[in-house]
Amino acid sequence: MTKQTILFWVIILVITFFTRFYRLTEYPPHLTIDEVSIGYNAFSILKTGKDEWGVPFPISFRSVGDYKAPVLIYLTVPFVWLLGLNELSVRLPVAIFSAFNIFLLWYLIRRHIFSQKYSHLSYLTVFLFSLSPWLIIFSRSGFEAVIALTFLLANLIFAFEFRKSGHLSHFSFMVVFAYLSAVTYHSTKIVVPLLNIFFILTDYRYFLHCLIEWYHRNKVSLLVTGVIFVGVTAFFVQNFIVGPGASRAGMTFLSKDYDFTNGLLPKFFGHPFASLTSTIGLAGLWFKRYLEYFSANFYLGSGLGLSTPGHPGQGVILAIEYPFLILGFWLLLSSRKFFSYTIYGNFVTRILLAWFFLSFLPASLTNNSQHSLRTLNIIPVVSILIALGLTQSLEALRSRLMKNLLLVLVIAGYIFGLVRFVDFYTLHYPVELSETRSYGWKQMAIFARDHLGEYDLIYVDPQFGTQGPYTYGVPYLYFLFYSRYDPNIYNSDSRRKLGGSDFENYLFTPINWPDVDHRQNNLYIASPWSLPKEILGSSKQRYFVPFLNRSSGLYAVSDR
Amino acid sequence: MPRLGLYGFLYLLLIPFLLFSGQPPLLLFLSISLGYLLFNLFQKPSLDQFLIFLAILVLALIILKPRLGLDMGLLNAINAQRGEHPHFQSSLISRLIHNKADLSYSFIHNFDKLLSPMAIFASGFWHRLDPYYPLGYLFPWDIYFLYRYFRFVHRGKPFHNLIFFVSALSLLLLLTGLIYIDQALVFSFAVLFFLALLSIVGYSTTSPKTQFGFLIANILYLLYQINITSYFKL
Repeated sequence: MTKQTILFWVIILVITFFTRFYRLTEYPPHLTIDEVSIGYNAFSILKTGKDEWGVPFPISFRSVGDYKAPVLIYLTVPFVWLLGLNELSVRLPVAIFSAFNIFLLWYLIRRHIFSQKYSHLSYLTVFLFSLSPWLIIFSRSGFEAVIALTFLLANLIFAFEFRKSGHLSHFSFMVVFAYLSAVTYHSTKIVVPLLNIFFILTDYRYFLHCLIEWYHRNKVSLLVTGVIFVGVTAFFVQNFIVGPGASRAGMTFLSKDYDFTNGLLPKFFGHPFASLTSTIGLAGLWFKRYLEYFSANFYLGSGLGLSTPGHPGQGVILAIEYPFLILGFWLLLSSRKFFSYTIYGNFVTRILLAWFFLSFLPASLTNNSQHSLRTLNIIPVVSILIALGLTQSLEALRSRLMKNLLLVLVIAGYIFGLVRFVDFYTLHYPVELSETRSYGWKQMAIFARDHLGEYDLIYVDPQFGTQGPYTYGVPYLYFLFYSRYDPNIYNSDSRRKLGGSDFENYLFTPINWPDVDHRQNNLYIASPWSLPKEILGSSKQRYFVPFLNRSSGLYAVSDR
Repeated sequence: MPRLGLYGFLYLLLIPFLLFSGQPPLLLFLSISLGYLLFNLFQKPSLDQFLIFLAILVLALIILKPRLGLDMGLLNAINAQRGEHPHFQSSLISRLIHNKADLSYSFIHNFDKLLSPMAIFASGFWHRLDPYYPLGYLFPWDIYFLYRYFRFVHRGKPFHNLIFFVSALSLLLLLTGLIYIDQALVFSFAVLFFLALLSIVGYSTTSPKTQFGFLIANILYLLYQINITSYFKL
């Protein structure tokens, strides 16, 4: 290892530490609903071997009805055991896997993607990947997509190894990691199988040749592998495609999108061929959603959603990277010289193109436009393309002065872009979007836990918002999480068995103030929309947590 | 004009943005002229054609009397974001990050509405026909023909000597993002006409059977869209 290589890895480790682990529990400043759900279900598995609904070791976690993928929850269990149920134990697994991603990407591109002549591109790609705002923000919260990316990278490493060696063991690991990735996050259920099928079909003769060779060499091991493969596939399809996985897909499928249900469908309703026209309309909407991922706004404007919609925000890449991304894409289409030839000419190009175009597919098939989390799989390809564009721009300039000027411009652009990203991520994001990240429920849950004995009942209204009670949250998970409520008692509670979320003397229900019995001494935790105006700011107000943009907040008021 | 053949010519006549443009004939003529000159500049650099291009561009600007299309309301958002900094009055960072340069977001937004791939191939007509109905300025399969153009027609041609083309295109793109959206259509349509010409050249590289098949597909597509859009207006 040369001194430069050691220095490079020291820099990468420093970047990894500061972007993934430094003040992990403070930025972002509060856990999302998904994070508390993952944490409490991991806690429940640890204590009881069952999820919050009392289902023993589920393969799909019902949670708040969104049927969460199981891998992250099970991976969180040892961290909860080691560190207790807190913010750190929930966020640490994803941060660790995000760090793994950097090293896996290095291995993949160094060994299989770039040719030896352009091996410097591997260093640049890994450097850009480690600094990617797109990956950083999701690495610091409990998002399964980061872990799915780890398995996808491992899957591709073994796919390329298999393509080089033809070993059954490499093929088996390729399949194992493909399934792991697919069960870890919903969007990889589409990307990974399609990418793997594409990988095999691109060079299907080689695969057939390998199958014949395995057959001649060891029929038994091929048969056993085949049986396991069929069994695992059947299990996967039954549980993750048509089982609870289907309910999740049904909830988020494009046909549930507002643009379709409220914009298009009512208009098609009276058409003589309504079912045909609405199907064509849905296809058109899908195409529109797919192409939205090629709009400049996603990359430069508000792709990461770190600010109020309509305000200046942060794109998924830094502004300085955009021209290099476009150039890199052009180079990917037009030049093979950068890529490894060990398999054959344009094999790597084809795989990268498939990876690029397939990564947008799951997100475009679901509701919400320009979804940066559902397209997280693409970040390695984006980093490769930016590195390609950047290197070629520098190499294309003949004058040393021009080269230096471009280099200074790029470095200044990166410094400015990173400062801007840190500003948005640490300052504006928590302030402007505190409501959508369920800010306030943690403080309320801790307040209620500390004053539980003082009240007969604690009403918690799940409806809140700055403009009106339009956001419907699931606060019960925050109250369970921060009181570390015994999951044994919770999932054996008769109210839970009937599908409710109430426990102890907590009632999670919309508050209609006149209808509540005020003869007892109850505590009411709600937004101002659910409480009488005269009580706010009076002596009955016990606690107030304003949203960080000061527009509204959550109140705790009592009857006495 | 590129050699299009009969099918290519018919294809050109059926391009959706010409049919649904809603532009006055003079403005549409200016757009088509600018687009055609852009196409010529892309094929071969020519100072004469570039000067004609500039003359038509100036004429279009005189006729349009363009208004700035940037969302000045964004300044309030920029100020609000600056105000979110703890010591915003003295903070260098807040002034460095939140300033009028952020108006470029409005530019990007305008540009995306008219010339992003989404607008070109899937939903450009949202503001004229219906806020939700997906209908692009070109046919969706023009993506494939553009690919064919660069794959089979343009391949191997050098990319230098594009100074006039790049200058002309930059002017059109700049105007598209900068001015009021209904006026910017004149310049975005010029780019669309340029893309349509490239696409038709790409289309002409396919077999006659394929060309005929796509021509029929285009007619059916347009009949369907005319039916739906007139139904929506009822």
